[in-house]
Amino acid sequence: MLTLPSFEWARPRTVEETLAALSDRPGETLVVAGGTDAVPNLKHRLHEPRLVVHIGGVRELQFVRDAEDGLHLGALVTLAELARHPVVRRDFPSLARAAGLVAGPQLRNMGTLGGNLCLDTRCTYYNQTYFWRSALGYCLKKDGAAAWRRTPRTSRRC
Amino acid sequence: MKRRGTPAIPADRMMPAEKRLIPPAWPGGRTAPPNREFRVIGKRNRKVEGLAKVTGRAIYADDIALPRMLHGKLLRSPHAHARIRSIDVSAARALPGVHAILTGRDLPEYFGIIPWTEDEQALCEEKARYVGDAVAAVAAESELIAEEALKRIRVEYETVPAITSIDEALEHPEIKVNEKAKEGNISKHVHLEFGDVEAELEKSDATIEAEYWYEGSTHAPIEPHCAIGDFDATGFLTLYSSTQVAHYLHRDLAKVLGLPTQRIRVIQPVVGGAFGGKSEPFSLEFCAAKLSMLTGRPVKILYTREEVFYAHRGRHPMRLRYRTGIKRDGTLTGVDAKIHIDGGAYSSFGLVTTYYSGQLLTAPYQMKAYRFDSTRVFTNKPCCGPKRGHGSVQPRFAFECQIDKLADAIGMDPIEVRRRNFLGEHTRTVNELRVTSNGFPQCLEAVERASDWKRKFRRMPYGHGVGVAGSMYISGTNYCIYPNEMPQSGVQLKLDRSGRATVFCGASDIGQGSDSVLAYIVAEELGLDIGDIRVVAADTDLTPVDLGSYSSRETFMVGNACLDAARKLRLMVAESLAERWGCRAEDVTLAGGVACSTRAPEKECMSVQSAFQLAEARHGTLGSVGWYQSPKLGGDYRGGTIGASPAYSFTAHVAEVECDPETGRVSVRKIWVAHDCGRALNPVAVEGQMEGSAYMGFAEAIFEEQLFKPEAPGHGAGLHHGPSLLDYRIPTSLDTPELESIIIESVDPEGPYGAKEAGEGPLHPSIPAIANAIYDALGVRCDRLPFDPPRVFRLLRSCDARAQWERARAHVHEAATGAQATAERSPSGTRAR
Repeated sequence: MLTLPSFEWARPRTVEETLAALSDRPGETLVVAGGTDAVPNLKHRLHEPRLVVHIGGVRELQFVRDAEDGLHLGALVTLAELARHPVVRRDFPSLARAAGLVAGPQLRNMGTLGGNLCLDTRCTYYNQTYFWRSALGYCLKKDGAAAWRRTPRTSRRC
Repeated sequence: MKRRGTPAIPADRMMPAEKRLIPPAWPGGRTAPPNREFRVIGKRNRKVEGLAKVTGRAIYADDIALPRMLHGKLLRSPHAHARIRSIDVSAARALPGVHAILTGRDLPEYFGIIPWTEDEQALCEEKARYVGDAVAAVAAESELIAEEALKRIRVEYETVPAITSIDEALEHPEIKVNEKAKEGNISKHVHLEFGDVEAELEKSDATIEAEYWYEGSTHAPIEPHCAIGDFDATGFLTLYSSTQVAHYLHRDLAKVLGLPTQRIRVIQPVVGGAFGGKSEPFSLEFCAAKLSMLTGRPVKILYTREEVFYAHRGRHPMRLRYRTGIKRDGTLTGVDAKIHIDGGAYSSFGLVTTYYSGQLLTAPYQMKAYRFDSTRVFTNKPCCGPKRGHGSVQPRFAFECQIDKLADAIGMDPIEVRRRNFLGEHTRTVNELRVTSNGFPQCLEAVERASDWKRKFRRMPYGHGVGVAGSMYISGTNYCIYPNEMPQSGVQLKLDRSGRATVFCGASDIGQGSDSVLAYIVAEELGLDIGDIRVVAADTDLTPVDLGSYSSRETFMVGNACLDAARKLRLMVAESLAERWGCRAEDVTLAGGVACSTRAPEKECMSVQSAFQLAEARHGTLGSVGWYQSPKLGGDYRGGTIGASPAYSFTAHVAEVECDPETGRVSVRKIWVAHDCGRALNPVAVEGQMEGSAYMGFAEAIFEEQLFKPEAPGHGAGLHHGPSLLDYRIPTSLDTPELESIIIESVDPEGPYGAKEAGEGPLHPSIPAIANAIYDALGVRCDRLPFDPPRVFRLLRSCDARAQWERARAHVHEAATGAQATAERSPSGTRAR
């Protein structure tokens, strides 16, 4: 099985505690909510943080509020909730549909809106194990000096 | 074939033919029910292990945790082809928590599933031959420490140019991938000719010559490989492994570890899928065992998903050239095949694969003359091997497309062409395979009717189409992997006063249901409830040898062995009752938990448990053994036994597709599968196999592709494109078409109750049926797999597809109008209402 690296683990309950935890070790901290992207990336050694801050228990961030000035969504709203929320479906049907199209049901149950918006790079040269990336000669995004592009002539992004 | 390594049995030590084991004949034959009608067989029963699996109680290899167990990890080569100059493990050894480290020198003995091509080492000693080839192994307190240790092992490599394609392998014999190859990079070459192919082709009214390409694919079982070695103080090794061939693993462990076979026990826990991917020994089994021998502690190695891709042994990439002819009346003439096979770095089953690529094509159609020339080459990629439908799925794809093209050329319905060339039953093929029962025409008819073929073929709007294909496959093979004259399958049966029966058998249930088959047969013969039977399987200490779960042999061979054992016990019980009641043993019925006589069932009647007690009192402790050995089969030529099977299964598919002519996207709507399995011992299990097979074929047709990266700055050629289930896409339930399974029962005279295989045959026609349906839909021929949008799109752009489509329709409609006119003249009164 792919292993997780060793790291310290913080479970703040409030936004205030979260901010304190994040400022504790700047540059060496990873935020995890649903973990659907961060955990595989940890297993792939794409991140090797000293501290992982799990914000899944911060209740202040779990809300869908329909207000005068528009719809307010907390960062911890899951994609599944977004896809089936009656107000989102009524007023923002394309958002509900997009959330419902991400991955499969299990991942939508765990994955959060905040995590989705802050998603790390997705690339066949990047989201691979440490061994595979070493056999590739690494990529610029992690451990390497050269950027890999899937379609060099048409794509300028990697 | 030239034999190396383990020699064949010398002629003077061979058993004389007349002394060869022949399975006993039972009154009424093997196909008859024990009491006039079947009570268990043919009923829609549960699989015996099903509940344990769905409730999470089944114990898989990785669920096993032994006290003081260490964890092992393998270091793998990042280069596709590299000499190993040196390995320095000192820094890794110094890491706290590391208990032992192995390199190639610790396990130098070569092994290989086929005794004549032993070319693998547990860990590479001199050279790594693909990205992911194992070079060292570590045992540590945890997986994390073992991984850390791997990073500290310093391997000095000297890279060698990598060979990554068939053509490179042939063009560069001087760059040798595998030093065990006798000539260049040739793993195996087979050339066989039956009849005068050129003369037959001369007689054709139309010939088609085309080249096909099958891109490799892998098995992707849910459960990764896992093994736990446990070497105890007495010098006894127990190895738990997720394998489908416990017996062969047992032999190779002894060879590589230098231990006597009687000091090794191999246990196969519940296996989470294999599909051929666990049918030979792997590095992890030897390393877990050896690390346990060095540390005196149990050692577990569990492959990651990535490592499963490197272990591979999946379907070979093949380039196939076919030249085939047909006469205007639909008769096939000659078939000429030239096949190149990309084997990867090692032999695996390659010798057999090379034969199978040609030998298994000769039914269900009659061929006047047939020639094939197959060459398997070594390349610097993970080793290919047997995947469900070993060696014959690729040629079947090509050949069934050839038939479709020939049918098109003479303007005949492709189902009709297949019907007209039917080989027949109880006959021999052009390459001297003995064919017994053959329900292929019924299969064709079933899919033709179920799919409403006549109303759809060449009659649907552009973008919609149907296609047909047929196939045959073996039910086990009489070619044993190592030469011996012992039974291919053995069963021990224990019965006691508790009313419970225990079946001991080396058979390997990998989900296909061999444990269930054993239980059904015993239940049927002894009148027991299925729940009263315990199956103990695939434990080399407890169970008699069965060769394992490959080449679709279990139902046929294990079933026959079990039938034998059960009938022997049944006779003992029936005789005891007959003596008590003063009737004949044939008049005793054991069914539904009750034993009675047929002449006075109300009076002469007792529970089967009481009957067993009576039998135990009369005969002593109750037990029996049964075994199976196939008759001597195969043609009298070199390689003539490879592909010879005691029975063949037959399949026909119709696939219906909906294609988008703008994007080239192909959606398979439905596949109708009709399969002749002889007799369905459990129709649900057979349907499960048929659906699973059709699904897997569909996946290879549309989705799967095992690709490797070309050379680039930073790395050499041969890196796997993406060894994960994110990059290597297999269809989910949402992608899967509707599947309709139709069981055809031809009742084979030699199968247990008439049964034949159902696990691999139904895969074969999936791919060509879809390819032929795409032609019906779009007018383009997909000769290269997979049929993904970029490929189909390019095909659509490369020709006037629409015009080809129109032409194909016009062709068949002309022919059909002629036929219809004839039909309309016949008297209408004969029509069924």
